[in-house]
Amino acid sequence: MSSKRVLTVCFVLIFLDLALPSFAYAYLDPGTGSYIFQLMIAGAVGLAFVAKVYWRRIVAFLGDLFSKDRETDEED
Amino acid sequence: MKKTEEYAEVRGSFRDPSGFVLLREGLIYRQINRAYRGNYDHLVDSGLYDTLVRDGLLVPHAEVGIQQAVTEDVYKVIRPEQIPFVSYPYEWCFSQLKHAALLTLEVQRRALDFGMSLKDSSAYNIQFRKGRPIFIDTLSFEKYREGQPWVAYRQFCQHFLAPLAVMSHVDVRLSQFFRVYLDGIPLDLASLLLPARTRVNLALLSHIHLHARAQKHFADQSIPSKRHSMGRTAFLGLVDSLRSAIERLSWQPVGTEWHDYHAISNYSALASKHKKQLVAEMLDEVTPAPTSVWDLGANIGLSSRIASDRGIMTISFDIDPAAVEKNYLESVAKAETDILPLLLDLTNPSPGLGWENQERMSLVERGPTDVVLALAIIHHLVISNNLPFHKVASFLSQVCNSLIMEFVPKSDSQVQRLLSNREDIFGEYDQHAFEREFGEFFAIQHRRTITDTNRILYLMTKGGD
Repeated sequence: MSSKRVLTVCFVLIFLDLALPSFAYAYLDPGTGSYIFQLMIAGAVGLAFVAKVYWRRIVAFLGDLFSKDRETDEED
Repeated sequence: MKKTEEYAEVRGSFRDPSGFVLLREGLIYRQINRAYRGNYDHLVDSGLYDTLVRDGLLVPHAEVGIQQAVTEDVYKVIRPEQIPFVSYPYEWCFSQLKHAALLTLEVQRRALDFGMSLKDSSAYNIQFRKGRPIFIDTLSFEKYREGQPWVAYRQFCQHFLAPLAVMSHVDVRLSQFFRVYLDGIPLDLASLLLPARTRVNLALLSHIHLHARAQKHFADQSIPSKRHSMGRTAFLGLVDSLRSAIERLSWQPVGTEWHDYHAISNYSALASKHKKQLVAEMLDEVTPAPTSVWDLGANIGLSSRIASDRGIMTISFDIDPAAVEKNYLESVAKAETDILPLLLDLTNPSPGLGWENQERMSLVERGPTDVVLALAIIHHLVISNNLPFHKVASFLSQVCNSLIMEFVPKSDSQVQRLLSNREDIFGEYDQHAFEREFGEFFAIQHRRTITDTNRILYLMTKGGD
């Protein structure tokens, strides 16, 4: 699925971004990191969510279509 | 609790400036401060409160007069429906924590539909009522500000995702981290413990491993300016991603010491049936009729259900995570409302935790219960744990008013198994000593021998010689 590939690319980039610098031990509230991290993954999780919603709609539409076809066949 | 003549402030609630919980004449009230007025009104007026209560997700409450208030900063005082027994995440099995996590996300998802969001996502916001988890912190909702990330994201990962991930991928016993880390498992620790294979799981890679790195990396930086924002779709995506991650985590209740107790127990069908009948008769005999029972060493809850099937609220404690898991899953499958399986090491029961050791109640503080069932555990306490009868009786007298207890004599094959690999230093382990020591704390009402065994069942009431 292409959205999965996009997600993978996003996360590899994020991983590289985080992996390169050296880390200092936190003495401040780590909430800052959680806050910024959400902004970083916002695009990816948003995209995945939209893809999922549309995928479900397509599946539901096709399901409806086939069940209608079957009903029509049975009526014939 | 800070006690005065009229009320006691429940200590676990002091961190939130929106209000606090107080106990007055045995009932829980919640004072809502003026600072929370706008959010509380929105919760009620938007219809979110009604929706959540209707679907059993949020504890219902009644508004009572502000004469119940404790400080002048009051906006309203509410009386939530009372939770019969307060339990904590370190006492929950895997599926209880998982269901609590999914409930939290469902509440968050619905809150967004009504323009609100959870400002915290502590596992302590969840209690079990009528067999199912329910959100109890009515003051956790705040108006959603478009563009804001989820302020409770870190807490959700620490309180739910990280514990469930380490329980699932490392060892289920790591739920006991909750006893040490009151604000959930630190993500750097969870990241360290989780096996390498979890890094190819996109959800765990992002919400735990990378999240932990981000926490360290950005720890000394300030929150970015408003031009960086997170839209509603991304917010929904975050909640959905967490939900998928939680749903995929699983644990099979096998491989622990007691997971197949009935395969190693020595009861014949006849003995088992007679014991069940005796326990039922003794329960019916307790006066006044009990409304609460603690079954200590309940395993998968067979004896607990003698009480809960009578409509008595029964807490079904066991030391084994697999037994508690099976017990809970059975209660869910049968939609039972009067049984709550919980994890407990009786030799080291839940202590008072948090600030001043008072934020989370000890087991003893949550008693006493009307009746304790202590069936087939005396030999484990005395022989496996070197606890004298006197100490066992003293503890039980603190937590119950009536006691239904099984004495397992030394001649029993199960006691012989316990003694097979150790020196018998228990010369005083006999019925006479048992009755003498328990008699100091309890009055023995009945003693009945269980058919086809040499075990004896006792009904005792508090108040000894």
